[in-house]
Amino acid sequence: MRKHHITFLSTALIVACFLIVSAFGVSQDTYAASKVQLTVLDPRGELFSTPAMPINTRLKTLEGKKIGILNNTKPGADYFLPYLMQVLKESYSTIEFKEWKISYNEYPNKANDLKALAAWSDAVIGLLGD
Amino acid sequence: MFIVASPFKADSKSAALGIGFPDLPIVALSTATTAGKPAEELLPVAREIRQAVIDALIKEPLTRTVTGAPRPPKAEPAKAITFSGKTAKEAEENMEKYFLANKWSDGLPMVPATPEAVEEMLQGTDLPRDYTVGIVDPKHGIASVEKIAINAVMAGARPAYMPVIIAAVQALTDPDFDLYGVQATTGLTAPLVIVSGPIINDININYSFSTAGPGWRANSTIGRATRLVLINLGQAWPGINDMKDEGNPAKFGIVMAENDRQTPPGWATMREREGFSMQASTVSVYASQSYRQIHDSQKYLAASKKPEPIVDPMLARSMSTSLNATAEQWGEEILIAFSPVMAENLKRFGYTPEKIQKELYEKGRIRRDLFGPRPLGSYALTSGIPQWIDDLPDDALVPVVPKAEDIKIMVSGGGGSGVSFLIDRWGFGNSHYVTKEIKLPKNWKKLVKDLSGWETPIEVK
Repeated sequence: MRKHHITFLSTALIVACFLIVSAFGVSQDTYAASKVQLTVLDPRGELFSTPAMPINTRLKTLEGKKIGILNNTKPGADYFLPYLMQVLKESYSTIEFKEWKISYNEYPNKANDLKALAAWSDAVIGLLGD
Repeated sequence: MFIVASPFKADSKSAALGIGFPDLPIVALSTATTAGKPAEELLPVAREIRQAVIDALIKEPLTRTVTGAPRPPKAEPAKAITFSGKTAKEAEENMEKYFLANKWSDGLPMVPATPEAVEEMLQGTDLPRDYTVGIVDPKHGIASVEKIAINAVMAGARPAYMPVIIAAVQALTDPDFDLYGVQATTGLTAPLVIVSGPIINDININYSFSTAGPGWRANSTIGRATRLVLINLGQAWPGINDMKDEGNPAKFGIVMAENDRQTPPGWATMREREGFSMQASTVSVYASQSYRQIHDSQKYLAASKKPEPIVDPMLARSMSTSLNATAEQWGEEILIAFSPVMAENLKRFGYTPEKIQKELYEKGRIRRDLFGPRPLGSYALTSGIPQWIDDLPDDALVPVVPKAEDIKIMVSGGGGSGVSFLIDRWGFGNSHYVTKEIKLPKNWKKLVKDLSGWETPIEVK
């Protein structure tokens, strides 16, 4: 009698679960009874980068220093540069500036100009953006 | 140190990291543009950043990178990522959401790149899965065969498309294409993929009506796969290191195909003019910018009292007026896709691709003053406009490309009324039209056979 009672309860529970699942509209899904897992492969690759390099030791002061300007040739740099030099001169009156105009696509052909910029300068300010 | 306009802060940090200077100080202005602004606007901007510039030059960074060991260009096996949900649909949606949040998607629904699907895709090549096809700028991602296959699955491609996708990635990563510039520029460019040769029929690439449009699995998913490679392996992202103000519809991935079947007899195909055999199949990439309709040759001929050569004035005029708007993008190549009807009309008047190139070079010119007032300045000159153009009088006529053969010509599309495409190019960088031969794997016949059921009929008229 007890065994029959348990069987009846189990059947009722299964029917109840089926009705609840049907009510939520997922009974047709093959995976409805368990949590579905989807494994995919990461579409990203490793990055090939040049070895990381530390930047040079910073200057003690800008007073009397030569600051090379690397202008990327876009019009914005030409407009902004005079005001940048003006405000830095207000803080360091003996600072010197010299400008090189080199676009990124000229770097391979203008290696000597880049070397000259590095040789002349105590520090370099690059101006980027349009 | 570098000073950048405000939109370029993330772009320049990304570039500094890419070239191995993670500590490079970068100071961003509070304005997006400085060109043309008066002193009363720019002086306060300069004062705002003064202390940051001084600090960048005299204060040591809080952390200092230790010189890193060289990293060989070797791809690691792809990592597996597992998503779960109450249903298969929910698990897929969770994958989509994750990919969108991580910028791994082109925004369209994706096919899950399960290990099984990727294995199947790898049947499309004889190359080892860890073979490096190229390095994808701007972040220098290693494009291994396996990673290309993953992105191809996500795009919905079939294994038989892999040879085209691999050749396209080879072309995109060729230094002559200047992928760094194409990906990062503010210019509104996107690679156009052009397929030529017998593979077009093998894998059902649409070469006829609306070749540059949707409806064919091969055209749509090969183009999409190349875009996903540029996103996921190049790690280019709008506003971060892809600075195109407006983007370009071709960024979804456009594949056009050469129409051999309706190329006039005696005209060499595009691949032959690029130095390959008629039997070869090739893929070319081109830094396209604008897609412009050029005239309906039937209407022109009907209106003309007598049949006459139609390159001058019709085509030459179309080309020069189209390019008037983009004179500053001078240089490199220009692409013309002739519809079969226009090609047939040209052939009727004795034209060959070489004769068309020569006449367009001579007659499709633009006025010097459209390049801007003299002197053009360093910006124009470093973007590829030579000094001799700057030196010309205002009314002088300038060819639109350096040499006649830089006018690339192909027959493509359907035989309607002769409406064709002039596709101009991004002219700032050093991007050239690059063509690669498509290498077929040993199991090619089986791959083609397995495509049965994936074809869309092509209307050829």
